[in-house]
Amino acid sequence: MKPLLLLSAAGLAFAFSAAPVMAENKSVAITQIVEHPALDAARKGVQDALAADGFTVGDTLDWTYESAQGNGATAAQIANKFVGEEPDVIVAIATPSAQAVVAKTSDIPIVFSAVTDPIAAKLVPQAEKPGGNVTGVSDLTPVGLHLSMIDDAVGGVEKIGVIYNPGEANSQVLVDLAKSEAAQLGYEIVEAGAPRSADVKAAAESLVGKVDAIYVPTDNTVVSAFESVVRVGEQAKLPVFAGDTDSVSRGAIAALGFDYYQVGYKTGEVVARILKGENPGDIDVQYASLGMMSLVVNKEAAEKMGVELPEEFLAKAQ
Amino acid sequence: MIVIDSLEVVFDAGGALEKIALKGVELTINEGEFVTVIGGNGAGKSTLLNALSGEAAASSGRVLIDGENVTSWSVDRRAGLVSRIFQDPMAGVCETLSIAENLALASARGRVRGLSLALNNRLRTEFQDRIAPLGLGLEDRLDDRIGLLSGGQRQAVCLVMATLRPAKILLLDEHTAALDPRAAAFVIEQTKEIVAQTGMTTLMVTHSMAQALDCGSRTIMMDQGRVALDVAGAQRAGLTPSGLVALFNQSNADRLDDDSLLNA
Amino acid sequence: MDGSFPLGAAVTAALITSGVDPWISMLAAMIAGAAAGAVTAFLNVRLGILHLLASILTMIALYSINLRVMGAPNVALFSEATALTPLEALPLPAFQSKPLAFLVAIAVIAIGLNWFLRTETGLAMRAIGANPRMARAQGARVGLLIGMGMALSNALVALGGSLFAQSQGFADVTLGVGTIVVGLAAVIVGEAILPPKRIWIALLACIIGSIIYRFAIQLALSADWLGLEAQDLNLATAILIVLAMSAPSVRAKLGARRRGPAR
Repeated sequence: MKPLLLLSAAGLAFAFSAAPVMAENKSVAITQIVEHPALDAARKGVQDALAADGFTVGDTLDWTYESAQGNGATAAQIANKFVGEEPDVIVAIATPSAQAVVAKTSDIPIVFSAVTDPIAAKLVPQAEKPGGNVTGVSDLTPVGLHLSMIDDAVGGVEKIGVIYNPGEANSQVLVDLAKSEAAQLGYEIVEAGAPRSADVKAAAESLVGKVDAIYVPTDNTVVSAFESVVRVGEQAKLPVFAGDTDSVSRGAIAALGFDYYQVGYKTGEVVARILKGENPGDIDVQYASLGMMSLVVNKEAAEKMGVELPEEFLAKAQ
Repeated sequence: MIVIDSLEVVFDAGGALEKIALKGVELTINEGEFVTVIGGNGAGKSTLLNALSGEAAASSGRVLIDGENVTSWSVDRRAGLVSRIFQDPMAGVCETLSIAENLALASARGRVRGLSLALNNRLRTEFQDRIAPLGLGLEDRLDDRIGLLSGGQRQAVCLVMATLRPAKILLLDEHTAALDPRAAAFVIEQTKEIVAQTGMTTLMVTHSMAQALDCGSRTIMMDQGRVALDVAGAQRAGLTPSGLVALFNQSNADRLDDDSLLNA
Repeated sequence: MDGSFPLGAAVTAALITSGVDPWISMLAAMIAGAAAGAVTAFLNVRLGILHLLASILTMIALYSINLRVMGAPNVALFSEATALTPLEALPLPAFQSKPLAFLVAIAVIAIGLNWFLRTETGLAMRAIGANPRMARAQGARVGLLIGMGMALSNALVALGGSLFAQSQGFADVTLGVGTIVVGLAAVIVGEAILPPKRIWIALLACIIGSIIYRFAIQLALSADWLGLEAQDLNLATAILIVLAMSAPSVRAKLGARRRGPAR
């Protein structure tokens, strides 16, 4: 008796949720793996970008938002629901939510956001003209932008030292990326390995005299001993930059961090293009650009390391 | 034959609450004997029973069952030799399982359990035959949850469970203490009958001196972790509770300054 | 459970992406789950760590192990052949063939469990759950059987994770969040609706309970017209489950009132 009741109640609910949509209104369904300040900011960005393009939520756009509240199985269920409702575009924030939707449909356009590596996650086969029904915006660390930022701050940089733990797979990826980006931008990367936090100071000291600046990527081992790098930098007047904005308050001169509102805003622009008739397969996957980043600067640290930051550089900081 | 040889059990040895529960108990129980054990709170009678079942570990001394030294055996390893009924009617059964399933558990006591079905028609018939003599009509309710039975009914089923398969000794741990007088009388009657029928060697712990003298063929009295009195045969025949107390006083005249334990 | 579910997904994803047969990957996932269960039982039985703490310890350890197994927080399986790939050959759309395949899988497991739990070993296992002291007195080897039970249940949870990864096309370390809660809720809801008088009814109750739990989430997801928003999902799910569970007792009370004050 009870299951029957539930069934009919569920049916009723479906009937309501599938109520006929105003013919002229476009519909966007957005699924997010969990509530998190960065992801919530991205969602807001999507909404604002759509509004700027004339798709205002509740007025000219039907908008459905669900969060899996951290549960993978629920993310799959949300994906099922969205695919059944056939909105014009499904927006998926973060990798698991995106994968759950991609597994369910190859027809409905999907725009992912805040996915670090969409190719490894098999959301798209390649970044340029991905084909199919999926495109989106990645939040892969823009190491190239980080390197250019160092040059902008210090000026005349040729050699950049990188301290990392070779045992951390993520760091290895970042350093490889740094080397290939550096080659294109005309810098030279000098590596210094620190397998343990206790080795970080020696690694930093080994770079003194060999490089024009030190860059610490988001490496757990090195970041945990970040102060030792800063001390070496201050003593040797060697500027230290970080891959994450949290390290700036701990003594790095500056770092570029993602502004997730802007990441979402870029995503919203992609969604708007699809709503206006473009084919998602023809839109390149977007990677970080300066517009999506926020620059955080520590002037005091710059002074201690003997760097005079140019006015135009400071103007970009928040 | 059960031999308990200078058995000592110490709880929380070396700890703040160290308590010597058994202080060198010597006891031999012959095959087929029905021994009742009496004694005040803390006299060591439950510990004696737990030392036989394996729940209380011996600090020194030995427990021999049919010549086999089982002192270091765990409870489950001894289960083939020892069967027991707990004081609490909840403790001896699995309430969520049916009567038949509880009996099936008992029918595999002390045997390696395999992957054959625990219940079959042959076993069901056997269970019905064994449970019908209780006169409770439970033979027609084998698939009822045992939790639905009253305390007395459960203890009666426990009697059947404990005697379903042979054991070298049957331990009864004040198994009527939690029952109302009528149910207690019923369970005692059933106990006498089943023990007589199966001829199992039995050790029954009880609080009631009348019950201790009414059942079995031998009565021992525990006091301060030792066997204080051991009566059987002609000496025990016709003995009343007050006679038992007199005997106890006589044999412990020098030690008895607190007879409150006998009023328990 | 919160660890074994992603463990099953992780092992399956890692093996399939490195070219191992999906069926062998599934078997490996179950063995890995069984090992995790056995470790929990070992911590509990041999080292005397409280069962709840033992499972929490295994769970947090598995988070790291799952990362190791996959080599990344997330592994995608979209383009790989899985045990479910042969379904695409059927003349049925995926939204029919997949549930059908899972129905068959669940039926096979339920029938297997129904048999196992009625064997001598299975019965002893149930007895340990209900009354360990009594089971021990009946000669059940409590430590061993707890280990076997934990291994069996975690192997099944890992199989669930494995199937999830294969049907959803990815494995993620965060997949397990809340699995234990879902499992508990499913069992309790199922038993409230279908009182388990027999093993097969208890198994059916678990299955129905988990389906109802998913229905509750679906209802909560679809209840926008009630003014519910995305952040209300877990609250709405909880309330729906309370309603489903209180229904039988409310019904019983109503029935009792109609029959007069019997008790």
